This record gives sequence, C-alpha cells and structure tokens, in this order.
Amino acid sequence: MKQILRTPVRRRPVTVAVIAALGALTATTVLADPMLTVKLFRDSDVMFRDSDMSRWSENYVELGAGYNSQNSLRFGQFTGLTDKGGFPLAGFNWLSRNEANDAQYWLVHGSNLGFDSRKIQVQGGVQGQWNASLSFEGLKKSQTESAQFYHNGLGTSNLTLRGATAVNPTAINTALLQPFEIQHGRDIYRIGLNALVNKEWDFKINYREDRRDGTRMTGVATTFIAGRGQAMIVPYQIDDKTQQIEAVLAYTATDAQFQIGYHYSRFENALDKFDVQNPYSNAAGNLNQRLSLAPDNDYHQVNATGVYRFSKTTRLNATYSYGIARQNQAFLPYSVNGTTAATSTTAGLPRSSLDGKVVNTLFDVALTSKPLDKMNLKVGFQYRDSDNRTPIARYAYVSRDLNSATVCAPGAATGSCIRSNAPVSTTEKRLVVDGDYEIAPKTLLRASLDHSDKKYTLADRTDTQTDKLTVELRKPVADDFLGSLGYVYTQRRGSSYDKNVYFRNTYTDPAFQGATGLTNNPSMRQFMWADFDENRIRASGSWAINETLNLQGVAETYKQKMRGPNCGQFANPLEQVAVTGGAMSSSTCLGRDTADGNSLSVDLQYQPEENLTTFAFANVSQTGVKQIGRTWSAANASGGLDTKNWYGDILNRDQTLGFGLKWQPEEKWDLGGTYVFNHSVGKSGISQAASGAPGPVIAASTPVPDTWNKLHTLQLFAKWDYSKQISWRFNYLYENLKSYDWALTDVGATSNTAVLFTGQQAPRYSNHVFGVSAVVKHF
Amino acid sequence: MKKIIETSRTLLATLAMMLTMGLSISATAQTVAKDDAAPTRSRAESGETKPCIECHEGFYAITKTKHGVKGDSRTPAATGKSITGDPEDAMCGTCHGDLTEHNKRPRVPGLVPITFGKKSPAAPQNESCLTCHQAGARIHWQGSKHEQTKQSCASCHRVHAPKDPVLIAETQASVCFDCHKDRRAEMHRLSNHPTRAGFFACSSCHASHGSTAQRASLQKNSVNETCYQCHAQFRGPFLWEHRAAQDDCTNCHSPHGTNVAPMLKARLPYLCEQCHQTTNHSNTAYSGASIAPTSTTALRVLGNSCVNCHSKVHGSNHPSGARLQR
Repeated sequence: MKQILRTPVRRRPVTVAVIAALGALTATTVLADPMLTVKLFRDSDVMFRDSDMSRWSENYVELGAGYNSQNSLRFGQFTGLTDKGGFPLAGFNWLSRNEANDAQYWLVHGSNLGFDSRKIQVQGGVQGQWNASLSFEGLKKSQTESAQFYHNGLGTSNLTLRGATAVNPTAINTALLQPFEIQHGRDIYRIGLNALVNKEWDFKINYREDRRDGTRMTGVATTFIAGRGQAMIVPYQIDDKTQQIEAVLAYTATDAQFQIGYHYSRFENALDKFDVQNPYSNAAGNLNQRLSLAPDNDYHQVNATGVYRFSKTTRLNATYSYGIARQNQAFLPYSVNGTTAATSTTAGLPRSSLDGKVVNTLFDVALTSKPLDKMNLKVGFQYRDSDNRTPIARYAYVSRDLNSATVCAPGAATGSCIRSNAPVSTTEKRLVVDGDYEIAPKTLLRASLDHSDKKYTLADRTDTQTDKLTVELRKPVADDFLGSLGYVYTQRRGSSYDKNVYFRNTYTDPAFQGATGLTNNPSMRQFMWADFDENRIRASGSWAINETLNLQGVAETYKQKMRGPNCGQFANPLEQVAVTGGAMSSSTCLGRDTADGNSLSVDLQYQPEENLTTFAFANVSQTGVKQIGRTWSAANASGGLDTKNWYGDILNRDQTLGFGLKWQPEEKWDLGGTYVFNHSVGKSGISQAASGAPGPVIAASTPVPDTWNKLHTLQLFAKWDYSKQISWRFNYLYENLKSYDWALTDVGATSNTAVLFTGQQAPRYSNHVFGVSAVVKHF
Repeated sequence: MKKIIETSRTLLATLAMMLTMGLSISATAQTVAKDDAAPTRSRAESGETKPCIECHEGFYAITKTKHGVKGDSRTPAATGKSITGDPEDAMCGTCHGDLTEHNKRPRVPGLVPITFGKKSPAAPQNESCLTCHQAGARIHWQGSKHEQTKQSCASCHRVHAPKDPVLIAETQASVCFDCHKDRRAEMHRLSNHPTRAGFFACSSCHASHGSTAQRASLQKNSVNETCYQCHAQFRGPFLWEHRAAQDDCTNCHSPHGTNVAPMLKARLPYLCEQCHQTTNHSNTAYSGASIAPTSTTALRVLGNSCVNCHSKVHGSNHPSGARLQR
C-alpha cells in the first residue's frame, strides 16, 4: 500500500508559540454543547435564563481528551479532525472585571485548541474609553485523500514527471501514481483598537491578515491533438496573504450622526505561476506547461455616511463611497517553450503588465418617515458606477504552451490568434419606494416598488431596466397565530443584443462565422443580463399553541421565465439573410429558459417541563432549471440557427429532518442530544433530437444517473457538576456521509484517453468521536 | 425514485406526528395555571416599594453585562435612577421607562411602559435601544430589511444574558435560524462555508442592521465586495474576465450551501451551458452516454468538467488566457 503524502501546511511560528504556552494550562472544547458543530436552535424565550453560555461568560479552564474512530479528510474538512486516534480537548475563558464594577476589564478566550481549527482571543480596555483586541483563528480546509498524481514536487508550484511521457493517460504507468492529501489552511490574525475621544466622537481601527497555504486541485489544458491526452488534474500550491485595514471616525449626536471610513485591502501572492510538466508525448516534444496564478492586487475605498433626524420620525440617510481596485502584476510570456512556433509572439506583448483599474462609486440616499400614525414610508435612490479603466489591447492567443498556434503578432488586424480584452463597465440608477400601513390592529400591509436602470459598456446589450413589486400582508389569524403572505413580481427588460460582442475576445468557429457572418450565436442569452419575469410567493406562520409549544412554518415558491428580446430577430437585414431558416421567435432563446424553486420549513419547539425542552425541524426544498441548447456542427448547420435540439431539466431536491432535546433531570446533570438527517438528490434530465436532424421532435437520450448524498449526524452531550468548581463534560458525535457523484465515483485516474483524472472519489465516511473533559471554573 | 418516495413518506409521517403531538399537547397545556389575572395586593396606597430583584431574579444577570458596568458613564447602570432604593434597580427604568406604577401594582398588566419581546410592538422597543445605539453598525437601521419586517432588537439580542448568543460566532446561527429556517437545512448540504463548524458566522457576510448593498443586507456595498473580504484572489481586475464572475459571484455560487462543490448552483457542464451556447463543445447535449469514464466526451463532463481545461473561471491574467485556460 502506498503511503499517502500530505500537503505541507505550515504552522506559523506565532501560532506554535501561543499554543505551546497555553498548552501547559489547558487543552479543549465543549461545554453543554454539541461537539464540533454549532447549535441548531436557540433556547426558547421561556428558558433563556438556562441558556448555557458558560463557555463565554464563566471563568474556566477545560482539559480533556477525545478519540476519533476513522481517518477522513472530508469528516474533518473544517475542524482539522482528520486523523484516527486520540486528540486533546482544551479551552479556557477568563474575564476579569474588578469587584467595584470598574470599567476596566480584560478577557482571554480560547476554544478548540486541540484541533487545527482553533481560536484564541485577547481583549481589554476601559469600557466607555478604549479597548484593544488581538485574536487568532486557524481554519483548515481538507478536501480529499483519495486523489493520486503522476508528478513529483506535490505541494509545490513546480511539478515534474515521475515517469516517462505517454501518448495519453491510459498508457501511463499506474504504479507511479502517488496518493496525496489535498488540503490547505487559513490563519487569520486580527488587531483592533477602539477609542472614544469624547461623548460624540469615537475612532476605531482594525487590521486583519489572512495567510493561506497548502494545496488545491486545478485542471491544466495540455495538447489539443486527437488521440492524445488533452488535460490533467493536479495539485497546485497556495501561498498568499490578504491584509485589510478598516479605520472609522464617527460622530454621534442625538439628531445627527456622521462617520467616515477608509478601507484598504491588499492581496499578495508569493507565487505568480504554476509550472507542471506535460505527461503526454507530443510532436513538439516540449514538456513544460504554465498557468498564471491569482495576481497581486489592492483596493482602496473611502466611505462616508451621514444621518440627519428632522423629527422624531423623519430621517435622511446619505452614503458616499469611492473605491479603486488595481492590479498591475507583470505578465507571463505567451509561452514558456521557446522552440514552438507560437512563441515568436513573445516579442509582441503589447504591454508588460495590465495596469488594470476599476473605480467603484456609490451614492445612496434614503428618506424614512412616518407621515401617518399608522404608516411608514421609505424613499431611496442609489447611484452605483463600476468604471473599468483597464487598458484595452490586442494580445496573441496561444492556446497552450505546447500548441503550434498560428503565428501572428499582436498588431495584426485580424486573425483567429488575436484576442482583445473587453473590460465591462456598468452604471446603475435605482429608485426604491417602500411603505407599510397598519390597516387593523397588528395587521400590516406592506408594498414596495424597486426600479433599477442599468447601463453597460462592452457587453451584449447596452442597458436593462428591472422592476420589482412587493406586496405583503401580515395578520394575526388567531390570538397566538401570526401569519404572513407575500407576493413579489420582478421583471427585467432591456436593449437589443449585439450578437458580435460577447465572443470578441474568445473564439468563433470559422464554419459558424462563415455560415452566419456572426461571431456569436444570436439566440444565446447570458441569464444574468437577460430579460425575465419572475413570480414569487411566500407564506409564513408562527403559532404559539400554548406556553410550552410553538409551531412555525415558512413556505416559498418562485418561478423565473427568461425572455428575449429579439432572439434571432436581427436588426441588420444582412444578418437575417445570412441565417438559413429566417427570423426566429422570441421563445427560442438558448441557455437558461426557466428557473423555479419550492421550499417548506417547519419548526416545532416543545417544553413539557421546566427542565426539558425538545425541538424538531423539517425542510423540503427543490430547485430546478430548464435550459435549451443547440449543438452546432457542420452536420446540422443547414438547419437554421433557431432550431433548438436539446433540453436540459436540472433538478436538485433536498430533505432535511432534525430533532433534539435538552434535559436537566437533576441539578447536577445537563443532558442533550440532536439528530439531523439530510438527503439530497440531483437530477440531470437531458432530452435530445435525433442526431443530425434538429427539429421539434425531442427524444429521450441516454439518462444521466442521479447524484445523491445522505448525511446522518447524531450528537449526545452531557455535563455533570461534580462540585461548584469542577464539571465533567461528555460528548459523543456520530456522523455518516454517503454520496454518489458520477463525475467522481469509479472514475479512475487513468481511465480516459483525453484527461488524466485523479481517482478522487465522491466523499463518504462514518466517524464516531468521543470526548471527555474536566472543566475547572470560578477561579 | 422509490427511495425518494419512501423518504418523502417518512418525512410526511414525521411532520404529521409533530403536528399531532403539538395539538394533543396544546389541549393538555390549556390547564396550566396562570396567576396573571389574580387579584393584586396594591402597594400604591402605602407607598411601599420592592426591589425589582424580588420578582425578576433571573434578569439580574444583566448586572454582569456591559449594560451593568457603572464605571462607564454611558450605561443604564450609570445613568439610571432607582425608584426602589436598591441601586441595582437603577438601570431597569432606563430601558423599560418609568416603573413607579408597575412597582406599586406589579400584577396589573400594562403598567410597564416599554416591554421587550414578541408580544410587544417593535417600534417602542427599538426606540428605547436606539436612544444610545443609533450609530455605528445601526446607522442604516431605518429602512433596513429587518426594520421593515418589524423585527425588534430583542428579536435577536438578549441583553439580560451574561453573553448575548447572537454576538458569538458559535451560537449566532442558532438565532438567525429562528426565522431563516431554510438556511439551517442548507448548512447540512454537501458543500458549505464552515458555518456549521462555528468558524463563519452569518455576520461575516450579512449586516443585519442594514447596509448599502443592493440586497441581502451585506457587509459591503455589493455581493462581490463582500466575498472579496476572504477571497481577494478573485478580485482582479483580470486581463480576461469571466463576466458572470465579475457581475455577481452568486450567478454561479450559492453561499449558504449546495450539493455541488464548490457551492455551485447546478452541476457542470449544465451550469456553464446556461450561458455558453456557442460553437464547438460548449453547446453539446451531454447525456448519459457522455459520462462513461472511457467516453470521448468524459474530458468535458467528468472530474471538474468544463474546469478540467477552463480552470481560470474567475478570470485569467495570462496574456494568452482569453479562454480562461491559462
């Protein structure tokens, strides 16, 4: 059995030092809470005094141990509890506030210190004058241990082949595949200072730094030669950091508030490229492939918000925000292989770096008032501009480092190897009118109208207008039953489409262009900019059946239908002539046709005794998209562009059920448990016309299997107060995940001639975790 | 299909059981004695006062909170005046209004000027809180989604608790789930942010007191600006942009959780084909015949599907990355 290599995720020196120092005192988790997961319910109002917030309000040190029954990266994907075996449990909380109820205080808190994902916080100051805080949060993201690779240098940004090249993956020596765990970590450091200058003025500044390292997987396109391998999936190295500063100066008075802030964010990648050798032999004989990695970039933003209160019920709120996003990292060469014909273009880079710049401006003003005793009104206007000032230039297109692309210089007038970048800018003006009126005691009628006018440059269309109408009625159906019913209608309309814009910077099949004179399929609509009509209905109810029993429900349904305009109806008659079959109707848009969804949630909370609370919830939801496609090929080119020849009916159905209880049988014992079951099914229904005969007759094609997953989570937790100072905590967690995904399940690393997969399987695990810890408190 | 039907039946049966349980319990619980309407012994005439703690002991945890710090001149504990002589009662009237009449006749309903909770109108509750808390994160409260839906501060916050659950990452979600029930279910889907593990609170993205974002009360001015707080590697500006990504991350991703990693709204290649219906392979009907591991189309369907080659879906800065492959 091969040893599975692990991504070398660095432990930061500061982290190690802090953990080592605290480790002497403590080790981890869990008061009367579930282990490793958040609480699913908040305690009901009638028992909030019993709410166990002791982890954050009592002084304690917790020390214990746990045991995890199985190795699984997926099980511990966020907690870091990925290995079978024992682990420490450690945590602490220490709040100091002197007995005279002075405003001075300090707090130290640590949780999950036995895991890779953990938190430590230190805070202190004089309440009402200043406070400072320092925190660390480590977070793991583990993906899979089932992937294997054909390269050396796993975990670095330079992968070399472990064996000889092959024609395609099926010819690769599988004995040389190396298992490797894919995971990365994120360490977050925060420093904050908040100072009250005087009664009206206060200032705060926060610094946050995120450091990531480890690996993720990426696809790499290699050759484009029939019969040869064309792509591979490999791990690439992550080593970057993001720094953020947020500074705010605020003025607060009774009738006016004002604040001005500065936000700075900088992303810095220690790596600018990822080199990987091509496992496939090829005519050019070159091995090297190179991907660009996320470029360094920064963002500066100034925000100012002012509020003025004209009267007790009328306020004017205005915000101005101005931000600049910049990116100017040096370009990589077109190709790293100097011997290929395509690399003659390297001399022709139009510029050495992008000098990308986007200026974001926001102006938001809102007037809120209460013109009548029973009426509330809001009128708001927003101007939002995203001005992309990135220089436009013409770049040679060399599809892959190994391709022998047609040689052409960036200055050439036309040609399939020339691409021009097309930075999109948008400007939006939005008006919102929202009001509600109490038509009867506790019965509220609310209505709002939201109009948005958006303009685009270098996009498929120049403008869109979106209108959203909302009507909602909230009414007590009975003494203890409050119900609501809401309806939302949204529609978007806009200008005609420019059929030649979208793919200006990509590729157009010469046969397509020759037949139509177009660079884009005129029936295609990108759904985020396309016209649509949407209807949405939402109903909810909350029934306090009695003092011990509460039932709540929410149901929602929506349907979105995409519209034209002028799918296939060409503004230019010359285009019309170019298309066999003539004009198309507006119902033949390609891409997303409809989107719909339904959801029903029910919650029940029941407290039969003061020392026993039970709860249950259920959710059923379904989302679906119907889409229309048209396969373009020489075989059906004569059929006319408007003829759709396949339908997709993509559906996801989820059912989630959970219940639990919290019980204090006697003063010293606090018991609880939760169980959640989630079952999801994904369906991909594809129907298709007979090959080569596009037309209205749609036949069922070979069905795509359903994907599914089932997750069971059982938590049992108990706390026993041995004495006033010492408590024992007992936790048990069982989690079982089974899933099937045809894109992964039973797909071997070398089973396909075109792409070197990884052998990664759909996640499944079954883990039992036990934890026992002692809590020493009230010191 | 059979399994789905069976599961649905199980679910319906459970719901029916829950409902039946609720109704039966409702009937029995009607007998729970209430003494609110019992005759009261008024202290009004004698002028006798009684410390609030005698009836409201459980609420005195507030003295351990920030509101109870007398050394901070802004707090109710520092500014309030006790009507009972007990200094601990000073803060009660700051938020609840003049409690003199209530103290004299404690069992007469309606004598507490401001009460907090679901059974009281939100506006007076919020006005009481906003007297001190109208700046900072609350500066956009008026006209915000939660304000429009008549949520009171007490709908989420528990000022008497020694620690407010909504202010702590590990317990915050349980408060939000009170209303946003579908989010609790979505948290259990296959691909997620680490909210369930307690490392990514709802407030990491959402500003529950209102904001300038177009929707969803986000922490920043837009969806993408909010996402870039943690995912600045996708901010660009890139030489070659993927317009769906530049427009709005939620065109493809559903951040509360989905069953398609990484939090995608639909499976590839079908998600991509909702826009990409052009030439070559981006408009092909990938049916069951396409997904055999040995098929010639597996390159575009299995593994990462379209992203096997077009791996730079968030944008590329490679001079030849026009098709988001490099």
